[in-house]
Amino acid sequence: MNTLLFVLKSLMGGVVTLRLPKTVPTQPTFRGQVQLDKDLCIGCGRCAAACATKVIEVKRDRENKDIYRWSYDAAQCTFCGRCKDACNKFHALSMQTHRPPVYTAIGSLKQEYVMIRKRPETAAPKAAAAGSES
Amino acid sequence: MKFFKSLICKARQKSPWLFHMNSGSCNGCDIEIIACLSPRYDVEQAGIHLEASPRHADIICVTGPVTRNAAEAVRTVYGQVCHPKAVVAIGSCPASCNVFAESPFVSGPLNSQIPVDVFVPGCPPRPDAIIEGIAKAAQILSEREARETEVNA
Amino acid sequence: MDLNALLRELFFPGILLAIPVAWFFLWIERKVSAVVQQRIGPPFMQPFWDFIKLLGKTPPTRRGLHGALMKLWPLLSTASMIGAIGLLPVATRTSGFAGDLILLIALLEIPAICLILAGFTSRSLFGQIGSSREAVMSVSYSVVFMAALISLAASQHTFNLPDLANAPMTPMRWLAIIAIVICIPAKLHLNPFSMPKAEQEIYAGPLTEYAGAELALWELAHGLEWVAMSGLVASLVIPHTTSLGLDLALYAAVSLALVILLSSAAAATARLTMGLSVRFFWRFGLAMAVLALASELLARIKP
Repeated sequence: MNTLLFVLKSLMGGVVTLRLPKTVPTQPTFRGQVQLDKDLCIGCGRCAAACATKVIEVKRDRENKDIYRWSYDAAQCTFCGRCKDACNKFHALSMQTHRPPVYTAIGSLKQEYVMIRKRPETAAPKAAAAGSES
Repeated sequence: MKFFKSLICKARQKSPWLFHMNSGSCNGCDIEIIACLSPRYDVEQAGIHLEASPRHADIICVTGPVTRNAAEAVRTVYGQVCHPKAVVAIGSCPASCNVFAESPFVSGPLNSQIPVDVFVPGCPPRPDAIIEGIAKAAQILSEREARETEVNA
Repeated sequence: MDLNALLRELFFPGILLAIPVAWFFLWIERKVSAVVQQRIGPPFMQPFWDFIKLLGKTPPTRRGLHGALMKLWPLLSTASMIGAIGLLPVATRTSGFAGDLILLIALLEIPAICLILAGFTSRSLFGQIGSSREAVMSVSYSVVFMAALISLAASQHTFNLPDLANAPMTPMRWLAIIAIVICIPAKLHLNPFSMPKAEQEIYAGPLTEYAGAELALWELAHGLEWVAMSGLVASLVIPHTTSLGLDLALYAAVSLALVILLSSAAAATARLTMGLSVRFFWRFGLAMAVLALASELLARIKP
């Protein structure tokens, strides 16, 4: 009897499925790929220190101490957001609010930037402006 | 004969059967795969079907960083699946070992053990990302020619 | 007469009709379970695409007797099911020969035996577990199934299927038909009695090692089993009317209703354990079948 009731209730319930090509919208607080704002980054390396999976790397160039390389690969990321939290002074890191795309070759989501190191004083006003906006 | 071949290629895209292989995952990605089968996402509307035996499957969904004990099993399962086949690496772990990278108990990312066709990023990935990855793998399957069998019985 | 029988096997209830209907019933089975779970379910052509895709796979090469037997079991069960469907008294009430009920019982029993042998032939551990479960199950449900069919035959003093189908309905006949309906989920490995093929529990049971075209034939045999069993019950249930079209419509409606009923029962119930299901068949199913059989035999003695 219970079984019969269950079947009838399910039949009355209608379909709860999403039609397939439709994707579910993400929340505004969704943590997607990490993105770097090149103008705000001063290369302090706090994000690399905070990264749980050691996927963010900030490496100084051997010859020219003013040039550094920032790299990140979503393939190894746990999307925990610790890098973004660590970058609390200059707000150079942000996370996308949509999911990362499916890919077919290792390294196709890798982001790499070569930048010139800035002095904290020159970068600070911009960061303050960005902070007041957000 | 040509018509039959094109029919088979179409059928491969329309009915990809999955085999779900856990190679030392934390169960996060496994639960998201189960979410794909649930009434909310219902992959059966695309003909996707979770099979219990690797012999029946077309697509292997691997979760987890391939641990040292699981490496042998992953290679065996890959050999058991009949041609043509595709491999989907679900989550960050099979792509790069994630937090387990450089651990002595993990035998490297999945593509050091078996060839991988599609990577689905995320830790864990969202169900719609998994479905998109499987659809992409099915498309790769339909374009792939059936090669010689290399199944170790 | 021979030509007529061949035509029946090949065209009308046979291959030409039965295979599309088998795919249709497989789709109904999956769709009903999806609807009960509030899902959309597979598209209409899904069993057909599955079949075609499996034909395109390259199964592992097996040599010698092992390979031959692995190919033989699905072929044999598909062929026997097509033969059984050809025997069913659809539309014509004059076909058939004396004793075709015995042939039908034998043909309906072959897929179960093939499945048992297939599990043991595959040399897979899960296949052996599945086969032994199937063997125990088939012992328990076959007794009920045969007793029910024999009670039908005893009431009419004949083993001729069309005569049985034309027989008037009596309470005891209903009892026998209900006993047959109870046996169908066990014969088709549907959910309350799906132990032999228990998915996820023992992988795919006897079919664990099957791949490609052989697996496609097993799927087809499962669909044909649906057609044969629902057709058998439908031919026993429906009254014989004068118009051929009405007959066919009733036949299709009853078999479809039976498929929907059993699929929704399968979707709504959980898998029983071996002991529970065997006990169920030996207690309730056998009680019903023996009651029907005994009353028919007693009715024969009285006059």
